[in-house]
Amino acid sequence: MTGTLEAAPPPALQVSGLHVRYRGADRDAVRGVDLTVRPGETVALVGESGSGKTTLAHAVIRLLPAGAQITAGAVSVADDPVLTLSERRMRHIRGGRIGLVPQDPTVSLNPVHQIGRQLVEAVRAHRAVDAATARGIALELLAQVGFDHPEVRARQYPHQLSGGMRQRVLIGIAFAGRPDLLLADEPTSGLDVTVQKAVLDQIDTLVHERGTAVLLVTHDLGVAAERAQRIVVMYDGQVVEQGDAAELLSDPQHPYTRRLLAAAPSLRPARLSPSTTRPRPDTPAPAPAAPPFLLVDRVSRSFPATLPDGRRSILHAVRDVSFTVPAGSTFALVGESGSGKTTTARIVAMHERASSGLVRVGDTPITGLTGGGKRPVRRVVQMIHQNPFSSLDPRWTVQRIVAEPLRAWRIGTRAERTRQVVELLDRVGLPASVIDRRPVELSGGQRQRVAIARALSIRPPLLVLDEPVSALDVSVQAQVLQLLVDLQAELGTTYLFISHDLAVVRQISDAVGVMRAGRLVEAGPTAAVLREPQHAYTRALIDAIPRPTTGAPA
Amino acid sequence: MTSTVPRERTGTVSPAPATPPSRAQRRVRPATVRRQVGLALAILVVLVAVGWALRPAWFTGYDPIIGVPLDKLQAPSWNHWFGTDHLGRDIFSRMVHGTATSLRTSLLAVAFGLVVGCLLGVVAGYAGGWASDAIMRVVDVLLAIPSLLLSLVIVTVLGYGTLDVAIAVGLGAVATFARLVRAEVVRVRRSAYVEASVGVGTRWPVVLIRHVVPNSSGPVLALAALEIGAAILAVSALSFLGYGSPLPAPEWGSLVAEGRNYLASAWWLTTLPGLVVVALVLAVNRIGRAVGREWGDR
Amino acid sequence: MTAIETALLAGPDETVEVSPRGRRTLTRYLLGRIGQGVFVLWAAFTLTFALLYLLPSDPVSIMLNIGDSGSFADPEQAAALRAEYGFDRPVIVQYWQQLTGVLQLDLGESIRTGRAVTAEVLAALPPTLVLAGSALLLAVILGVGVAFLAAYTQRDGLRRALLMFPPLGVSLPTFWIGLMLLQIFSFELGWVPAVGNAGLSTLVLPMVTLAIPTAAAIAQVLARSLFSVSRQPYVQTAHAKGLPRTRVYGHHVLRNAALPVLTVLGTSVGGLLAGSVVTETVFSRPGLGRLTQTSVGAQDIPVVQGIVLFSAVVFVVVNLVVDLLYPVLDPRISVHDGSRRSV
Repeated sequence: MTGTLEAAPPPALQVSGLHVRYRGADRDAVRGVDLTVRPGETVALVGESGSGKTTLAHAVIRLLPAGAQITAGAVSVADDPVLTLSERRMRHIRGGRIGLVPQDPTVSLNPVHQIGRQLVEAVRAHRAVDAATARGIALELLAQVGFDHPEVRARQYPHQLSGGMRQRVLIGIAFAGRPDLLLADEPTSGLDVTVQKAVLDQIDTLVHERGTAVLLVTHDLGVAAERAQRIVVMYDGQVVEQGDAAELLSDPQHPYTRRLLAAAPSLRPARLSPSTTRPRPDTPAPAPAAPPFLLVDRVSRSFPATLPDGRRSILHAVRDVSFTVPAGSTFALVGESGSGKTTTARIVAMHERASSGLVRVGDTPITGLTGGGKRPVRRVVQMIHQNPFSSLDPRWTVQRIVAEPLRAWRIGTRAERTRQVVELLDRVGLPASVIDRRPVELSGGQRQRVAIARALSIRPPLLVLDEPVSALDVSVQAQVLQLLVDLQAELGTTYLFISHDLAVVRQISDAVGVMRAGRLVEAGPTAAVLREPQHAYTRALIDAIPRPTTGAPA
Repeated sequence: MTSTVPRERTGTVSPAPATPPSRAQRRVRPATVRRQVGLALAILVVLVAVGWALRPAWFTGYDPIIGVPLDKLQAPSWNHWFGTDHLGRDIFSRMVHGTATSLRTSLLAVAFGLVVGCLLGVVAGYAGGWASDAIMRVVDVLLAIPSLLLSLVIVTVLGYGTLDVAIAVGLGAVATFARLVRAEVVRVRRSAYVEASVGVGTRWPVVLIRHVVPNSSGPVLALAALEIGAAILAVSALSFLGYGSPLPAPEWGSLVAEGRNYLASAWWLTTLPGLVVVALVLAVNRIGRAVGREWGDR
Repeated sequence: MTAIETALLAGPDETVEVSPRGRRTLTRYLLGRIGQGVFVLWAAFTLTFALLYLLPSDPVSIMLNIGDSGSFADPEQAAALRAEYGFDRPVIVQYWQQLTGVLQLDLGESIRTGRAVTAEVLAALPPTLVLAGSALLLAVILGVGVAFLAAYTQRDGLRRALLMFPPLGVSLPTFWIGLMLLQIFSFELGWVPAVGNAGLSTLVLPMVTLAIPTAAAIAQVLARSLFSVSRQPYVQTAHAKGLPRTRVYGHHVLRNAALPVLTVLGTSVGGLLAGSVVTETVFSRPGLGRLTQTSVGAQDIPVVQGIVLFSAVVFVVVNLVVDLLYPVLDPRISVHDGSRRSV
């Protein structure tokens, strides 16, 4: 890309007036989008689900799903009009001019082929080299994306690699055809937070070495602020605001941008306080001296298991974990996948047995309870699952779902229960009109509110929340977190909050425990742990929270 | 599991962030229209077949057993839609009157397979452990013997009556039902909404009735429809081989078998009755797929 | 829920510590699978024994066809038969004698011909093997061809037309396909002889007859599998590399979609054996199917039992081979856990 001396080089990507429509939809998913990425520039495309950002990204390389159609507009890469190219010439654009880093690395590599082969294929699609040379280039790429023994790794299959390693392979594939533009579509979704940072750093490094332009599609304004020079905000199929990253963050013009900014956990370090709209009854403030309502004492859980290669082994999911939670306060367990945080939560919620150790709720020891003995405790401990869609029976109406605990405990008559459901829905901020809907007709945030209403219907003193907001959009996330804070202030419920995201945790919890590989490596008041982390792993987690830069490359 | 990001990959992107449109609001696509016309046609075919089975006299005036020898081996015409056979019997009438036997046997066969298969499957899926293993091994054995052979063995022993043939054919379906039901029960039992229901304090039997049974019955119903099609084919194959109602009584398979000897001279004796069987099986399978899709959506 | 299921369910949220004990080898896996197969065969034998010898109040009367002829058979003949088959002895002794006989490949003698059952079955086998083998080959070619083309083509019309065949194919009665083919190609067009077993010309029609239902089943399963695989993100990755469509479908989609077809192949071999009963009857061909039909008609119980056991052996062997092929096609499946993943 050598421009003439006078004129500026053509933009790496130019999108103008683009419209995309899905078959059967009554309006366009992308409506008149204009977008420019200049050579060597990193632009972040920010939006929530349904904003059309991924549709836009797929339209750029003409890989829209069946049923989606570009109805108007133009896309050009350097000087090539993408939308009018023949399929044959389009192949040179894909991979050769635009490299794609896909959304979910765990499912984006072909499971039945060795990764070396998948890289070689990408190399040979765009370079006229023989097999041996291509293999050499592939191994070089593996080394560049941070693999230690490329020759060994090249012979491995995707399932033998971790999610982060798979994303590195995919980054290698994206760079294999020496593209001018990298299209990174939510490149870190599904990855652990520390791995997310490493993957983004890796992309940054390669981009800087080669001067590649980047279109970074993300839902996370924090990531955008940290990585991009310019930010484009999409909402409901349209670009609502775009501009220099630092300016846009410090002086957002559009109300949606302001809302997004306010919601982004990484940009909002303070703990949420209860909104004052509701009268606050005299709940005793959680004093540190209060007797613990939940006590977890040297709890362990191990499973016998057979490894993929046939060896028998023992999985130590949780080892010797101890903590206490005072009544009416929030304790957060933070950790990445494999840390044992979910297993711990499930033991407390009696969905999982502890191998050893003691869990006490109030005065009742719940470890060791079997069968019918657990049932009385279920009135005291309720759990909110991570995915609100799968935890609601798809065939039931909201009315039946929310009333289920009341029915199970024979509380009230049918009419009374209906009245209570309406009250509960109002309390979690849902209109009474949803009462006859089924989960499929609700949005993600509404579903999680229904799940919360169901759990609260029997007024449990202890609520176990397993990643309750991680499947939700950022702005919805903020609303649900606020709801949880308000409800706690109002009802005095004790929360055990499970999360992978320290940025979320610092908004909601009084105390935090950091878990890694089944052990609790650090615990203490949230503010103290965040300010002065003792354990190296806690520091790594804190480092992984994106921080806005001034727009200049680090 | 720390998947953090809402997905927006497929065509289900809803433009309005608040509430996805309800069923009625979605626009009807041409493919959907085509599908529904096909389904309506299939339902019509099944209704006609059921009519033949229940009230054959409404559909034909000819006697299925006693023919008019003068009219033997006539090609299809206005008077004899499907022509006549070597005894001058009206083939359409024999087809219509044979429907009751063929259909009853097939339905009984599927009912037998469904009931026994569901029992085995629910017990295996619910009990787990050695009971599940034992049941599933028995099911393996049923699968290891080709169903037609199994049917032949059973009719050898039991005889050729409707119920005997139904059990013979139904036994072959037991294995399929048991496997599916077990898989469904296990899937639903492991689902988060069952766990959530137990978690709010609902008792197990109630969970089973309110959550597990309704959510696992859809795929089983779809399979039942598909198995009816398979049973019609199996029953008519047995009848074709001579294991059905004894002769002058009409039955679909034996009707085709009778026409075999006139293949060169009277094509209608085999072709037209066969087409009726094909149409009904196609229609039943079509409905089965529609049922499966209705549940597959979720 | 077993502990292992729980562990699998819990997914990656655990740490793993490997204990060096209990490494299972391929030979051990094989032995285990063969043991399972032997169990299935034993159970199949027991089942047929129970059905054929215990269920009827008097097997001898069935063998002598008393029920049908309505006349009384010679009582001496009946007694002789009873003594020969040991029906005068306790059931458990009969069972044990039969079982030891089966283990020595001695399945008794045919009542109809007096020859050994094994000899009868072996004699009838070759033509059926030729027929079923060629039909299987044709079914794979047709089924894979139709499904792949339907998934590969970008023309909606062609795709829809192709996808009409598999549901039609599974709805056709085998005997009717045979008769229609005979009518058209033997009687109307006179291209091939109608009956007999005289080389290729008489093989074509039975082969097509037997192949169509299996081909349709393969095409149905493969088409569904191809469509679902083609929507997988790794296929998008392949497209995004800039690969030609032929390579994306041939190299990435087909390989991943093949597993369910393997399962269908495993079960369809039994279906082909059963289909040969009808096909050989329609085309008046000699073979195992014909032997089955004659033996059932003559209520030649030892031969019927022998054929059932033979088909169970075929099923067990074919499915063992299929199980061993899974890990070859999909590296995620190891022979150690013996688990099949349905896609």
